[in-house]
Amino acid sequence: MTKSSFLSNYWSEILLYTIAVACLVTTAAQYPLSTTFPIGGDAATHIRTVQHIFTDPIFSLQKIANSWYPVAYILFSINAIIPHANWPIIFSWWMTLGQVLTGLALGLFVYRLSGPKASAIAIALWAMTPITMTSFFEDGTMAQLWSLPWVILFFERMLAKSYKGMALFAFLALFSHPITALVLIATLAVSAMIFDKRVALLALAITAIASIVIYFRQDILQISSHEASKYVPELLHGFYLPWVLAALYGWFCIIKSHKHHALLLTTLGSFFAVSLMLGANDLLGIGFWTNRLDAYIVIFVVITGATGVAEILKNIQSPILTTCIASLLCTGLTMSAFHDNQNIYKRYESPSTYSRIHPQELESLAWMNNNLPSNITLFTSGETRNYEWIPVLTHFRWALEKADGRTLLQQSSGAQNPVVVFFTRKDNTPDDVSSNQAQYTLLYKNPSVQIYKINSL
Amino acid sequence: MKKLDAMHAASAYSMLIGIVCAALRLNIWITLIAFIAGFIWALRLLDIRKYALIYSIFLFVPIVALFIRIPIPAFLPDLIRLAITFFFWILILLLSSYLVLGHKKSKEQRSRI
Repeated sequence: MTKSSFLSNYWSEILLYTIAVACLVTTAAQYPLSTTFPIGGDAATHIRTVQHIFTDPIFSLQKIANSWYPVAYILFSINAIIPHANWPIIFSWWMTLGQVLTGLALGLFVYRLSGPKASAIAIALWAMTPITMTSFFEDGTMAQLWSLPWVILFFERMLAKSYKGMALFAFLALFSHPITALVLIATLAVSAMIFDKRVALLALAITAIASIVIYFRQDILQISSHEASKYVPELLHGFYLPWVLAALYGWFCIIKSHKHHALLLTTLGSFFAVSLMLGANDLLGIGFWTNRLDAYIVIFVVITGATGVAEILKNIQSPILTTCIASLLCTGLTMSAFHDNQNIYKRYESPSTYSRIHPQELESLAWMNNNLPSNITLFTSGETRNYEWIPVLTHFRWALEKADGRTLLQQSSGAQNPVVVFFTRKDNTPDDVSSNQAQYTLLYKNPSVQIYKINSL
Repeated sequence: MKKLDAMHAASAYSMLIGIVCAALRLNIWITLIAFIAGFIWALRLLDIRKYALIYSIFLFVPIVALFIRIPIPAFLPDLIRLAITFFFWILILLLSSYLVLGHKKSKEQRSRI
């Protein structure tokens, strides 16, 4: 390679990386900058688990240890160091950081797998995914998002043949989120079975044991949802189709360049098989949690698609032309995703859609903090997940009960200063509460909230 | 050598046209014809027939799975239906990989003899 062509390659790579990272940060930071409060029901649960880590460490650590996401929670609890932490805002930015870290982990893995151009393209491809291809921001699924970098880095360490690194990242992934753990275990099991038939027999034995466990713990079987994937159609004939096409070619290019690394190819191949069948299980006739399971197939498409595009551009043999094409494709499609997301965030911000906690509900929580004594117990029903913000944003004891008038009186009889709250947009005040002034005294009312003091029997 | 470079470039341009057409959401047939033509040519140029056969199984088995529905009783819980479907297709994947790998092994053994 001559000096001028080396320099031209060098600068084109720097330019591509700059564009890719800018795209990644833009679509990730768009979420906290466009929304005033986290969307999705899980955010409150995540914050509630870690917010008292320094004030009540034993109770918090017990909750973390008994949760499904210990590693993700331990990392998230670092934010408790921030004095006077505004947890909803911190949560949104933590999600942004998770999205950016996943993009950078993909960049690192693809750099090692297929070189710098493919790495920059992979970062840009991941930048297009929020809302359009993944539901992390919409659902507030922080733990799952924060489990992805570890899976990607596990493959990166596998490529580097660092078994200690693989063990570390496998541990982090397995204890960050159960779905990620399931995908990783299934991937490794399939890969191991291909390598050794004895492992296949072992896997059959494990399946038999799992069947016995399920027979005795039948509550696991109650988990069900019938949903058609929003994202798989985007992969197969929509927004992400170009990268799926490139992924086909990319897979063969990876085979060519790493043909002697059978472990990596088999594991990546198994990862594809497992993640495609999980993410598109509605096409297999099931429809089980499809929108939560699609992220893994998107990751595979990003890795192989970026490799495919980079190889195609390399064959054109003009660094300037390839940089122009790659930059235009990445920025153009990221801007398109940015524009689509902007409309979705605007919709979530609109109080009339009630996609997140309503401003009048937030007002009522602020009123409670300023006007109610600290020893009260707040009772709510479980009709809306917005009630879960009560223990996060107030310092009162919160009890989740069935809130019709008669049962409330019985359930609250032993509680100190019982108060019942109704977020009336989803949970109307029952007549036997609103009309029974002897036992329920109205303390606060706005168009979306009613708060009653429960008088003792 | 120059002829080979030109062939690489031609297949790359063909695939790129397919990708750009897909990105711009132009006619799906132009997308597919341009991409597949370039793709097949590129595969010939890659010259990885031996390895491609082994590792293509990972692509094709799950893709085929999307088009074939296994009849599983609908009254069974979702998780059980998912497990049965997975079990079936992973079994197909394993059998086909053993078939290909076994075939490759026996060819290697023959060549050694």
